[in-house]
Amino acid sequence: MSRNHVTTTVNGDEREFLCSPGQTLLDALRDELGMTGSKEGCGSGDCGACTVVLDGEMVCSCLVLASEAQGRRVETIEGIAEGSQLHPVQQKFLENAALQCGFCTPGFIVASKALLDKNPNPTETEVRYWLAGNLCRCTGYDKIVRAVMDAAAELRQERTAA
Amino acid sequence: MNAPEPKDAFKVVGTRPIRPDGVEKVTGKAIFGTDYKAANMLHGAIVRSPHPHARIKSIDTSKAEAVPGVKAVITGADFPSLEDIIVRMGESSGSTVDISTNIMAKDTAYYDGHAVAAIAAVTRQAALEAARLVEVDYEILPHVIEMCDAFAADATKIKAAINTVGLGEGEQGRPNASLKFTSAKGVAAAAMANAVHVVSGHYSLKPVHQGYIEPHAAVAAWKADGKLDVWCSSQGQFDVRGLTASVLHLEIGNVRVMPLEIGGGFGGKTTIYLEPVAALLSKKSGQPVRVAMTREEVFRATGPAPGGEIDVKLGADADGKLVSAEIEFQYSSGAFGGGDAWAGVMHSVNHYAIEDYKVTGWNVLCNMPKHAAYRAPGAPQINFAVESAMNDLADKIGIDPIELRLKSAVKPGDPSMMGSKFGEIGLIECLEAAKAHPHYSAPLGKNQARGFACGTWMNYGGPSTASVSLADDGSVLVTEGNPDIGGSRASMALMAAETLGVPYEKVNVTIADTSSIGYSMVTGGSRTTYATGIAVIEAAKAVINILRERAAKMWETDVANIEWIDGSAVCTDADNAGKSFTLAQIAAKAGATGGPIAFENGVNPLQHLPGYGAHICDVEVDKETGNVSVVRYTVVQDVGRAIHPAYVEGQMQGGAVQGIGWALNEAYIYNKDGRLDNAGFLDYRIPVASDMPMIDTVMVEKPNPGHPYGVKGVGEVPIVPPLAAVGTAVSRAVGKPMRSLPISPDKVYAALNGG
Amino acid sequence: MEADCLVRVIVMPPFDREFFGGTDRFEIAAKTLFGVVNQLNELGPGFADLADVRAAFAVDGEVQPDWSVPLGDAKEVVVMQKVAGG
Ligand code: FES
Ligand code: FES
Repeated sequence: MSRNHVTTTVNGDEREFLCSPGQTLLDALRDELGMTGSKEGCGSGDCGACTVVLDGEMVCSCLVLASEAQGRRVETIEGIAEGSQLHPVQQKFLENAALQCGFCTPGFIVASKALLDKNPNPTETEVRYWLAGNLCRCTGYDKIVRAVMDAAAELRQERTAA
Repeated sequence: MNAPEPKDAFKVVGTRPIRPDGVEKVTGKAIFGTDYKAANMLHGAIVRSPHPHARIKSIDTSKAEAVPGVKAVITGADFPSLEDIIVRMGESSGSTVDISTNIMAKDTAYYDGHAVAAIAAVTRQAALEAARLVEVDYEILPHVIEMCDAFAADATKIKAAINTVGLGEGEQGRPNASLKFTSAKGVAAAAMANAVHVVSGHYSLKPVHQGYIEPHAAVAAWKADGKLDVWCSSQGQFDVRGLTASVLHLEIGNVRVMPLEIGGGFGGKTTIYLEPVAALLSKKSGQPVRVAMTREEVFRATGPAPGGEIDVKLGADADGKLVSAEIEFQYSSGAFGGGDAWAGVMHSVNHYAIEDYKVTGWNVLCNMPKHAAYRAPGAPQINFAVESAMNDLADKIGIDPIELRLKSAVKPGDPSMMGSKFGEIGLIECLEAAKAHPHYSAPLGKNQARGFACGTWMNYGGPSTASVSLADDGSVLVTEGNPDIGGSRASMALMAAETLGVPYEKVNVTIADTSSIGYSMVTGGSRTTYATGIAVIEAAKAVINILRERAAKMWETDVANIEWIDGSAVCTDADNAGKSFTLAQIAAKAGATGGPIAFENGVNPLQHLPGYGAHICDVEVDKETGNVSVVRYTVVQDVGRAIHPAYVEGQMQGGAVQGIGWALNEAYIYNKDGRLDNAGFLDYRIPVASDMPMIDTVMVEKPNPGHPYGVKGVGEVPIVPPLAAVGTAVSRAVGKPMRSLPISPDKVYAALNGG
Repeated sequence: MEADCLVRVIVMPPFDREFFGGTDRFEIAAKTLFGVVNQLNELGPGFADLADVRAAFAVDGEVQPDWSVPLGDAKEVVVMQKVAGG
């Protein structure tokens, strides 16, 4: 089977991999690059566990072909923290106990950060609708929504302080 | 056991620290079942029956075997034959024959999605291609799926070997019923005849799936010496070990199961599906093999929780006190025996004191996957019927629904349906707290209505092992055997820290593989914080005794002169009175005082107590579309003592939302050919963030005297009351009883438009 | 060793029909729950094998996980099925 050679930027690093024509970006991240932080909950765009940011747009990586990443920028859960410094969204998820099993968490954190990058002051309703593509079966969403609102408040404060 | 310590004496129990495994989980580093890879690992694929019921005449694997890269192909014929022995499976028991047959069909495929063959190949693509080339010659047999077909007296019998057990003298079984079970007290019919107020109704529920977001996956390595290593996520590595050993006829000690992080289970990961398949493929190929399910496979071949058809009749005296209950119901169990009817009976009216009742439940086979435990298995269905009827009764008498329940609610010392007496249970406290909550009396908006329901789950204790050891710098290492599904590492660390008198941050918690610590039963049945907690606390107490002995040696005095106060050994003998050594100081001298300080402890506590919840739900109905929104929701629950309150609230919120999904959206939908039509999250719709309001929680704390810190199980209760709370709210909003779940928009629309 | 204690044993469903032909009440003299289980096994062969896995015992209303605790002057032992959980 012929394999495509793909060069792409993942979390700021240039990466190369070979992929088959039908392979998804999620599979390439997990299997070719060994980055298993993005999860597969459904493989059909319905659960959001595989959420990554592609050239600034939030996408389900299970719905993107690996070859489409050629020459583009991919941001995954592995790139959200700066070294050992957690992003405020990650910190607030911990403080609010917004994860139980934690399987949905990478997708929620990538999606929440994408929201706050666009909208620093979302309402509860905006948070709920933005995250409606991410399924969590454990938490009932309450603590997730609170964590995102808290992170938004903290980021706003950081911005004013800066 | 000692009475629980008073709450204000706690230093760390009841606080909300960050969980020990948290950073790994928010940074994507935690290794879940779907993430593990072994060196030189092959990839598996499973061939599944497209028919709900078919005899397997022959399987031709030659084309599949010829696909480049294919290393092994197995069918049911590769499985060891099985004697029918009962194995430990969680807290219940399961038949190895059923478990093995469900994992891989032998001569008959019993449901759409039933595994019939499996492949291992160097790539997943090659394995999938080979799977398509396996030729199975099926003889299609008649199938039954809906309860009305499966339970009929003249139903097509789907398994010759099935007989109804539990029949009384002269009672008739049914072709597909595997169990008829009755619990009765007094003379229900006579008491019903004397009742002043009587309500009755028929209630229906469809099978639903647990809906964990992590699909099942397992890696197995069959080693040259005949021993087996397995890496998987589950609710209990020890029960995976036991079941896998039984199915493969291996000695338990020759199977080692490494627990990976688990992405949700809710009961559905207390059993096994893939481990023996991966093991046999590994045995045949000589390489480690990974088998993982797609989401479609998860829906078609795992779960579900039983659907049910339920008849309820309740009778009350003039005052509203319950005097009789007559209940009969059927639960589906998939194509295998066992099922949740027993638990359904035992959770039907166990929260009410009734002198006369008769409750009968049936387990009924149908051509669906083998039922699996789902959070409070068997309780939500029957509670939906009983609590909806209670609300009808309140309406009929013209009394407040909570007042009605207070007249019959069980209290400590009352007899339970199980035959024992209730201990320090907190149903009445929950009802009072719900009544006093501002939500209960808040005004409702246009097209809104409110529903109330309460419910119970027995909870459990059972065997657990934990060890506590100290490093020479005073670090505390807790090792246990229960997978952490929702923050249990944090609660174990809190209990160890509280007992030893050290800061939470000093405690490290490891969840060990099956060869590294003694047995612990599954994380399920709301047992972990209770039972494994006791194992941790008692191991910590034993370590304190060792520390006291060591300190006594250091002071050259008798151990009786040493007290343990706030993490230090304090000397009371005349020569050294008031002197103390910290835990770290004693640990540093461990070598000179007798060697490493460690204690491993196995326990089997059964002084768990049932939990109770009281839920208030407001819905708003869109009269144009029939769409229902939950606009306000409050969960009140007796939690004993909350060790880590945030994770207790999380259980209450998550359970409530699963129950709301069950009430409004979720159902297995089979087409007329017996194939599952909604095997994906698009069509099997679980609640999403925009469907839900904040879920308010009230933790009622009535400590359990059977646990040093008062713990009661909290995980399962919260899924029990939502079905009736939501159902009643919608019934009131539309002005018609909604007795069939899910209450989808089309049913609401029909009810609003005279349907 | 202490003297035998005469207890009323109540066998809850489904064990009454499964092992004892529907009889659910027995008078048994025993020192501990081990003795109770052994004698129930005489009356309903096979019960002892499954008791460990499927049964729980309440002594005078309190669940007793340790079968070796002396029954003392207990009056009643209830044999119940263990609860399954998720
Ligand atoms: S795995 Fe991509 S949306 Fe579920
Ligand atoms: S925390 Fe388990 S699915 Fe969200």
